[in-house]
Amino acid sequence: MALDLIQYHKKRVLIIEDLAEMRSSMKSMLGTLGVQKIETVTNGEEALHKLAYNSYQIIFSDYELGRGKDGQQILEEIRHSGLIPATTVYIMVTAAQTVEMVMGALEYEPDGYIAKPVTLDILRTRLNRIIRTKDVYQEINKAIDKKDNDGALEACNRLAVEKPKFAMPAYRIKGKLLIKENKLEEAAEMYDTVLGIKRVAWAILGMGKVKYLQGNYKEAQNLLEGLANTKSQYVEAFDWLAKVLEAQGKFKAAQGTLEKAIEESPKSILRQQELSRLAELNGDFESMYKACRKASGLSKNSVFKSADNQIRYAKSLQPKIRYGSVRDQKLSVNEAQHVLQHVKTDFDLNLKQLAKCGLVEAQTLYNSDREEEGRLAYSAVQAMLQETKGLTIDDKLDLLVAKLLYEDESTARQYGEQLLREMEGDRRLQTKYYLILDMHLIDNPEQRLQLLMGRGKELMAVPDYEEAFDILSKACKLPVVDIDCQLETLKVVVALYKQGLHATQYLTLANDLFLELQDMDSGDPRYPTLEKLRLQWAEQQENDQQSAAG
Amino acid sequence: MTNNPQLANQLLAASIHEIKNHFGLLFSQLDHLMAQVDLQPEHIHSADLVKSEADYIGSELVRILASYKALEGQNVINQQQQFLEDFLEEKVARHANTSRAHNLTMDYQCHEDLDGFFDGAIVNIALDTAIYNAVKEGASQILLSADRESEYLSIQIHDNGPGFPPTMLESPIQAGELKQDRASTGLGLYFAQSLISQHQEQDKTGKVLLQNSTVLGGACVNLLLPQ
Repeated sequence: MALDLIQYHKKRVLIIEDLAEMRSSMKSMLGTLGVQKIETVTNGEEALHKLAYNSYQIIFSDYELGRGKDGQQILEEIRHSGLIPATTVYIMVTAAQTVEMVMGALEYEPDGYIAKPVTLDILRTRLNRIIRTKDVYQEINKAIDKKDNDGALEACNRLAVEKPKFAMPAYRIKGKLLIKENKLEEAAEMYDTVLGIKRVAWAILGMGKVKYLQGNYKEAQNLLEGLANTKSQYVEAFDWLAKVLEAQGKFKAAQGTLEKAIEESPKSILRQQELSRLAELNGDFESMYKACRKASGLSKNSVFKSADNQIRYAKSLQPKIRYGSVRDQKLSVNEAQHVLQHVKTDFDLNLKQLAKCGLVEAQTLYNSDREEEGRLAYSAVQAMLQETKGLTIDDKLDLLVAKLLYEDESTARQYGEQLLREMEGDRRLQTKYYLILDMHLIDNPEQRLQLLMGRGKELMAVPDYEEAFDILSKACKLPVVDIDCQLETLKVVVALYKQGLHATQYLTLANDLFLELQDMDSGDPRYPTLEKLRLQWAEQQENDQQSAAG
Repeated sequence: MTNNPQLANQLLAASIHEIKNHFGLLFSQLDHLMAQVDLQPEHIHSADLVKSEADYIGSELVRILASYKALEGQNVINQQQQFLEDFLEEKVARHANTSRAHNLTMDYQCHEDLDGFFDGAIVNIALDTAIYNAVKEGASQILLSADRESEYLSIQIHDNGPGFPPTMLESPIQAGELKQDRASTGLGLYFAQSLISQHQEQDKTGKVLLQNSTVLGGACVNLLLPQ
């Protein structure tokens, strides 16, 4: 096809670029190529606004856009929300060193990139090429825009047969369409064929997704772990790996995986929201707060803005409001109230969301000495909850927190025990439950000790020595700690060392405890237990020294 | 201060990274500035030389960083399907300044349907190394070509310069060349070789062959990428 066949004078172009010089230089170069309709914006927000009301055939986006959204996020957002048709050409303009990062996006890839510095020669060559390549997929994209999935699938097959050069990219699109249509068998077969030819990253990711959707978590985990480890730039591999781990009940590992992805790319709203959701499931308020806050900041004026995230944000502030310094309390109360106020005006909340919102509000009010107002909010929630169906145990645990504040102790505790039974041994939920009670009893050390001891023993029976240590070491810090608790803790540390699990915190606590217990009367019925532990501990230390020396 | 070569390396790498970024900015500003100025005919060549030198420094910094990563063992090959026609076309376009400044004719040649799997960034570095070597040796014609050779993709950089001396043609590329006259040539190709050799497919490894060009009569650097 001759180059001059591209009718630039008919193209409408949008340039997203924060530097004024770059904007005008791109504009003048495109003008030289014959483009007549050129509009420019300086950031993602403006771009989304423009795109909502106008249509363009070509979009140039700088990858690095200063403090706001980067080019990749803009692309994700507009493709995800269908703001631009599939036929629109999206070109990323990037510094040479970030080309790999741009092209490393597997799910939302731009149609092409142009590396800086952009000269007229380069722009002409690249743009011609990108547009001509985009034309190859025109049939497929037109069908996608018409939401004609079958038509798009047929077009993919035709392209692969008619132009074998484009077979791989055609299969890549086909894979996504098949997954969207839930034709998983067919997708698996196709990815299998592709992987037989070449182990390309997109096909590994595709296959990982299919296996996940089919419930074959083990295989999905293998594929995605491999991809995540070898190609750290494929951040999407981490996202899907986290889903696979969660589906297998490995919530902490899932959270850890997403945290790694976030290190790589902290600006993705959806990823931060996912992290905050997982941190909530794990009862990890610290991570939950950070992720919610980040997501909230990033999603202003974004289609990814989420009410659930905002409610979670207010919830994540509660420990600070209750136990933080006076300054922290004040700031956090303001922050939480601000968030809650906005969530009610910015979103059309459903009943369950309203109820959750009310629960967090009731907590915030109680913790900022406005108990009476809080009580009103709490009774409103109760009325709502009577009509809300499908409450999960996680939701009910949120309710438990409020009950502990607003109802008499025994009613609330009974509700808690009933929940504990409903959990049927689910460890994650149990951990959350005990965390709630532990926080509730913060001013009642005797009861806290009892609670932690009980839970610690349960965990030793499981056995989960690591979590048992977490719980019992908390108990050891209480002023009312007793010898029984200290002995239990020593048992856990010895067990951990026997399993080869070493940590400075285990070592330090064990040494402290042996020191504290050294004056125990030899007539004490617990004395033999202590001696036995001391012997085992000494043995472990000796073994370790030997293996360290060997 | 303690003797810490590792930290010294990291410092250099981080600093080069910074220089590279700022240099990119500087260059795009310079490019923009030059476009605004109406140059006298006798100054156009100087301007072209400035641009070409800027390109060279930019690609040199990219090359140093990639080589550093390879030496540190932290390079990860990112193989993707590439269409050779696009790839070579872009390479020639990217060297428009080099061509103008040195009165070079640079062209590419390959079948329009040829594709291959390789790390585009790494192959770009190897191509730049060979192209700048050819310029240094005074070539006036460069041809980039690509073809399938059994289970390898072959990308060749031909020139009409003096060609490689027999000693270099016979032995595998070594870093030891550093001490000889053709120091920079040897070292550049040595690093290109170590970068290219990260491409692996079953028992086959990517390699760089130094040959005489049957097309243009000068040197031919042949990148072989296992497919």
